[in-house]
Formats: sequence, C-alpha cells, structure tokens
Amino acid sequence: MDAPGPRPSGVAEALLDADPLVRAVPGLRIASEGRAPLSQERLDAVTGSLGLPRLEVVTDPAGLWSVELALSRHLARASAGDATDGGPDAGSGGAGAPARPAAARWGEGPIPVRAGDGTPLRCWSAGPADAPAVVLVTACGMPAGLAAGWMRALAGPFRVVTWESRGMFAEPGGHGPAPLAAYDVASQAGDLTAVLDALGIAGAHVMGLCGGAVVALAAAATAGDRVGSLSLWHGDYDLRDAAPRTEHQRDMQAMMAMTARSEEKATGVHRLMRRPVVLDSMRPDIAHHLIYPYATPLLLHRYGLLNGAIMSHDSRPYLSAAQPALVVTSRDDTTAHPAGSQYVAARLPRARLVTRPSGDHLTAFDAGPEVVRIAERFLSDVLEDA
Amino acid sequence: MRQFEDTDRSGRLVAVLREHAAVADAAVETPDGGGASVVRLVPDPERAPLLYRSAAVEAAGRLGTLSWHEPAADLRVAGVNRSESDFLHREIFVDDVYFRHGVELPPGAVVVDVGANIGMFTLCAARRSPGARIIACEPLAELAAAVAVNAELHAADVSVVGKAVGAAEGETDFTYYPHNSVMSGAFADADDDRRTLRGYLLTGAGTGGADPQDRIMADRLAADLLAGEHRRVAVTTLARIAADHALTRIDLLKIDVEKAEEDVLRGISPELWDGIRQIVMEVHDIEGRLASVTKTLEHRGFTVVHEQDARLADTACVNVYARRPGAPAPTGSAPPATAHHPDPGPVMWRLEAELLDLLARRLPGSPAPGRFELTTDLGTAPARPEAVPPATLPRTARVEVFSRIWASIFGAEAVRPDADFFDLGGDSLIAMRLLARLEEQLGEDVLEPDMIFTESTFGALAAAVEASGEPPSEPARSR
Repeated sequence: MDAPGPRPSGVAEALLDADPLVRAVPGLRIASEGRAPLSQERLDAVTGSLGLPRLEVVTDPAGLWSVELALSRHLARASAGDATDGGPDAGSGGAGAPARPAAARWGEGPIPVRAGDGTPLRCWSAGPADAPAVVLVTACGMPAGLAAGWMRALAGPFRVVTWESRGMFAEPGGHGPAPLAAYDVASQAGDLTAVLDALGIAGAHVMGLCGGAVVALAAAATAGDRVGSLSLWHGDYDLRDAAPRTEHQRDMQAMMAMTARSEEKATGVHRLMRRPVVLDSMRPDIAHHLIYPYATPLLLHRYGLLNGAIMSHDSRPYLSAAQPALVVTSRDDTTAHPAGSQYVAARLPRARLVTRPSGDHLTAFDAGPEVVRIAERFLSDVLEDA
Repeated sequence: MRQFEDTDRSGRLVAVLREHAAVADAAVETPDGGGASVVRLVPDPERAPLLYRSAAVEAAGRLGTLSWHEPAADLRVAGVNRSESDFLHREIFVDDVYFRHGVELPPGAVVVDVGANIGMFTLCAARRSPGARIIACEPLAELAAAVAVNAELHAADVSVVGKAVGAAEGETDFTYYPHNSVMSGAFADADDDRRTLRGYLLTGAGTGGADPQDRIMADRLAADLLAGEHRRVAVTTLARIAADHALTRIDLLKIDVEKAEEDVLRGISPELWDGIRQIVMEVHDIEGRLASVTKTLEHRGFTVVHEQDARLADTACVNVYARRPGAPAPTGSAPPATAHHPDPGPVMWRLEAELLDLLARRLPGSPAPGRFELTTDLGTAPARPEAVPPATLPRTARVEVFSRIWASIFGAEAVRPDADFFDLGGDSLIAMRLLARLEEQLGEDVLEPDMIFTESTFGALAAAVEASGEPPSEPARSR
C-alpha cells in the first residue's frame, strides 16, 4: 500500500493526520516549548513539503483557542517522539523534512467520489481489492483519521472502506468545505451506495459507529443486498419514547438544533467552543479529530444540519432490516444510552447483542483487541454462513 | 410553584424506584406548566450511606458555597470547583503520587495532612488505613469546611485544624486563588505560578486520557483568572498540633503547602521528629530547596528519594519521599473491629443511570424523569422552589424563569449573583442545555450562546435574560 522510502517524521505524520483541521482553519498558531520544541523553521519545512498552510509557532500558550491548543498538544507529542527516536528530522532545522508519504499509513485516499446528487465525497480504502469488503460508517462530521484503528485492524483479511460526511471537507485543491445540498439521513445513507459503486464493491459488511450506526441501519433497511450484514457499535439512536437517551445525547441534540438554525447562530456557539475548557471533554490523543466539526462556524452549522438530522431521526422504521446484525454497547456507556442498543437488538430480526463490561463509542473507535475480537468473530460467522 | 403528581403513572414510577436497594423512598413532581418531572429520592441509609449523608449535610445547610463532585464511580466529595476536584482525585487516587517508594500506612495509622485543600488526600489515607486518625490542616475557611464535610460524608476520623502550618505560631499573609485553590499559599507568586501552569500545558499532553490539570491551566491562562485574594491567616506549628492532639507518633506526614514546606519542617520539635515514621512532601525546588530539604531529612535519620512527575518536568515541583528504616511498621494498635470499609453505596450519577435503566425496563415507553434530587425527608419542602434570585436582581418573571432553570442544573445554592457557570462545572454541552431550556420557556434568541463565555456569572446572565425581551405572555410551554 505504502511506497517504500524514508520513514516520515512523527511531526510529518501528525500533520498528515491533522490535515483536514490545518486546512480548514487558516492562520492557526501552535505553542511549542518544553523538552522538544518545534522551531518555526523546522515546522515551515514540514508544512511546506506536505503542501499544508503555514502554522505560526508561539512560545506562550496563553491566548490560544481550543483548536490551536489541541493541535499544539498533538504536535508536541509527535515532536517529543521524534526527539526520543532520533527520527529523520529530529532536532532543529528543516533539513530532514520528509517528502509527503504516498498515502496515509492506514489507507489509500482520499479517493474522490460523487454522491448520487453530485455532492463530492472523500473516501479511503485499505486491504486487497478482492477481499470481502467492510464499510466503516464513522461518527458524523469526523475526519477519516478517526477510523484509522479499524482500517489497520481489519485490512488484510478484509478490504476496508470508509468515507467522510458530505459537505464537511474540502475537495482536493478546494478551499472550504464542499457544497452541501441534502443533509437528511436518506441522503447520508445513499452516500454509502455511491461509495460502493465507485469502488466496484457489490456488497459489504457495514459497520456503523455512534451516529454512523443510524446511517448504517438506514442503508441496511433501504439498500437491500448491497449490505450483506451489519454491526452497530454504541449507536446514537432516536427511538422516541421507546428508549431513554443520556443527558449527553440530549445536550448534543440541543447543540445540533441550535447550530443548524443558521450560520449566525453557529457562530455564537463556535465562540463558546473556542474556549480551551472544551478540550476537557475530548480525549487528548484524538482531540485534533474530535474538534474538527467545531473548528469554524460554517463547519459547525453543517455539523448541526447533518448530525442533527441523524440524532433526531426516528430509527424505528429501519428495524425491519433483515441482515444478520451485531449490536454492541456497554453497561456503563454514559454517552449513547445502552437502552437504545438493547431496543435495536431486540427488534432487528437477526440481531445478536453484545454488552461490553465498560466503554463507549470512543473506546470502540480505538479498535483495541477486545472490540476487534468481537468484530472478527461476527464477521467470521457471517462469512461461514454465506 | 409545583405540584405533586398523584396519578397512576407517578405511582407506578415511585413503586419501581423503590425496588432499587439504594432507594428508601421517592416522590415525583412535575413543574407547573409541564416539562420533565423531578424525582426526589430518599437514599437508603444502609445501602447508600454516601448519598444519605450528602442529603443530610444539605438538609442541615452545611454545604454552604461548596458543590458536590463525583470524580470517580466510588467517590463523592464536596468541593470548590469541579476541575480541581478531578485534578486532585487523579493525582491522589489514580496516580497514587503519595504512596510510592515504599510509603504505606499500617491499619489505625496516625496521619497529619498539612495543606489538606478539600481533603482528598485525607480521604485516600482513611481508605487505605482502616481506623486511621487524621489531623487535616487547612487555613482557608472554604477549603477547611470542605474537609469537614468530606470527613463526615465518608465517616472518617478527622480533626480539622483551620490554620496554616509554619515555623512559629502567629499570622501570615496568604494568597487564595478562588479559581485555582490548589496553588494558593503563603508564598504565592503570580508570575511563577503562571510559568508552572504554562509548563504543564505542553508537557502534560503526552499522558493520554483527559487531564483535568490541562483544563485548569488552559482555562486559567485563557481567561486570565489567576487572580489572587490576599488574606491574613493564623499559623500554628506541627509541635503545637502534636501537643494539642496528644500525638506521640505520626505514621505519615504529608506536606503540600505551595512553597512553605521548609517552614513546616522547622516547626517540628526534636521529640516529635523521633515519632515521625514517614514524610511525603511536594518541594518547589527553587534556590536549592530540594537539596536543603533532603539534607534536613537525612540528618533526622530518614532515607530520602525524590521524583518528578513527567508532566511537571518543566516546573520546579518535585515529590520527596522520606522513610525511617523499617517504616511503615505496624506501630498502631489494632483498629477497632468496626473499622472495616463498609460499601459506601453508589454515587449519584451511577444511581441515576441505574434508575433510568430500571425505569426503561420496567416502564417501557414512559418518559424518563428530567432530574433526580436527594432528600432525607420527603415531607420537607425542597429548597429548590425557593431558589429565587437575590434581592440585588430584579424579581421579574424572566429572571425567575432563568433562576429556576439555573437551579435545575446547578442546584438552588448556586442561585447567587457571583456563581460562575464554569466554576460550577458548566461546559459547552451544559451551556446548550441551559439555552435549550431557556428557549423552551422564553422563546428563541433569549441569550446568545457566547454570552455564557463573556458573561459567565449568574447575575450577569440573569441581567442579559431580563434585557433580552418583554416578559413572556405564556410563561411556560410544555413540549
């Protein structure tokens, strides 16, 4: 998948991982001090070689806003790793700045795809083209990098494919997010079919995480045999009064409703989200992904439209989907209420429920050994039955 | 203001809630004009002693300006602000910074906690040593009150000394950072403290997992809230404390006094030195202080090691661990037979989650309650309905609506002009909850979202709500 060549530095990989964020917000600053400071010269060399916008290095984090702090921490970790490893551009100066890696390490992409209504999408693929296909439907609005763990874990025995939410990311060479036409659940589920068509995949196992579980469920119910089987991980379902939702879900829904109302309203919420304290509720190692849909007022408005549609869409009509299904939740998920998954598992005709002792959708995204084993076992059973 | 529901639905709901072992009794209320119901719970004193005692503290009016924080699934504390409680919990319970390098407690230990803050270390010591006797020293009245409440909550044998500890008895100037109490002290220096926080930001990033200190630091730097209040506080010495409490031995002396650590050691009498088995202290290594402290302790017969938390690598903070040869030894008398650790029962968020699950299973399709409140007596009128704005604010319909919503999120005691949204634990999602409930009752655009950032106190936000429109013709609309 990757062209052999010099190992890219940790800083270069970290910047590639944060590519959507760096491109989405012009003029970002990062703070750098401590044991492995990043010099302006070195950073300029790396961003230049990657074709990324320039980042300004400052020494004092005071006054940085949430996105800048998230990025600063992300790069500080990578820089410290380079210093420890003696990586190719460890130390000061830009002489070691790498050429851009041929592809992100976890998949080939972004591959441009057009949705049925012409909306541009960015998708990724990993693993042999002739292997059974798994499509990852991740959390709405999040960069594909969040799915890297699953891409790495399953690529090989499977061809793993994912794509990013419509209207949330720039087209190659484009400025600002691509236009967003429709944002309802049916359109988002239709994007899955467009991705399968573009990559020549007849049918796939569809794996939905968090809000992606709703899109996956909708696709399973409406796309017929294109979805051979289904797994739904810590799904964030609106089941009306049939199942309770957590306070987190209700608060998120309120935020989506508010930001969806107008870009002006989203601007007000965005100012609130600039506060550094918002990083407290975001895991530091993936904060540069999690904060992406909040990075600009326009992104936040689009996020409100797209994720708001998912969070307020009655999923009960989709529960007739007849494919073999795995539904995963945990006893103590305070993000997406386990009762929603339990209800979904009880109503889907061919579902199996797995309740993990603990964890939420973020730990599911980690693709640790426990969840990968659960997925592999189910996929193995499904393939045997087929 | 509100009515008790006396319907079949609420009767069924109460019956199901009572099935839970931690619930002794319950009542359901629905606000006038509809909206989500409020469940008042009486925790079972045997099965949920932590929550029962919390309710008793509140009922007696002893919570004061403190708030309840639950930094872990088995811990509930009264604290000053949530981010600090989270930080202290992580440092003391999760990272276990005080019990390293062989430092341990025998059962029935005698512990002196100098610089107790809200008593997080005191609680940790009480858990590790059944029957422990703990003297907790904290000069700031707000924090000392928290120590007392937390000791009561966890049934720990704690004596609170509301004084600073130093080289000699007297008084001293003390800087209190209300928004960052862990850095308060007699030798506080704003520039230095700011440098410490800044160093923490970038080195703290590689630890994985949410780090509450990052939140405190980043937020304080951004909001420039590292503003201190100067106070005059009484000072005592460890020699005096030992005399007052008849201490002949101290199994563990913990010192975290923000740069006053050497003074604490100077106040130890020669005879008390002999009775101290172990010392753990945070040393601010400026002007050779680490070497000086190490020398003092070694001279007194301790084996001394020190280490610096990787996240504090760019700060002067070093932890020093000093043990006498053979310590810890079972020097204490055996703890009383009752000094075991009874199950404290669930914390509030855990109980709420279990009750919501129970209701979802037993009453499917029934709307979930909006909120749970604790009480020791359902016959006592809850404090919440009386959560009217203070006299300094106009008592208009809009302000009363805002007050009720604010109280429904943060509790009635938080309805005061200077109560700060973020210090009460508010975050961006809670801001959305506040705005959504406000819009539900007062219409759209009653408050701009970013106003919660720029005008974060109750008083300022109430004034903004009042200024944003005429009183509603229909004060409450249910969905």
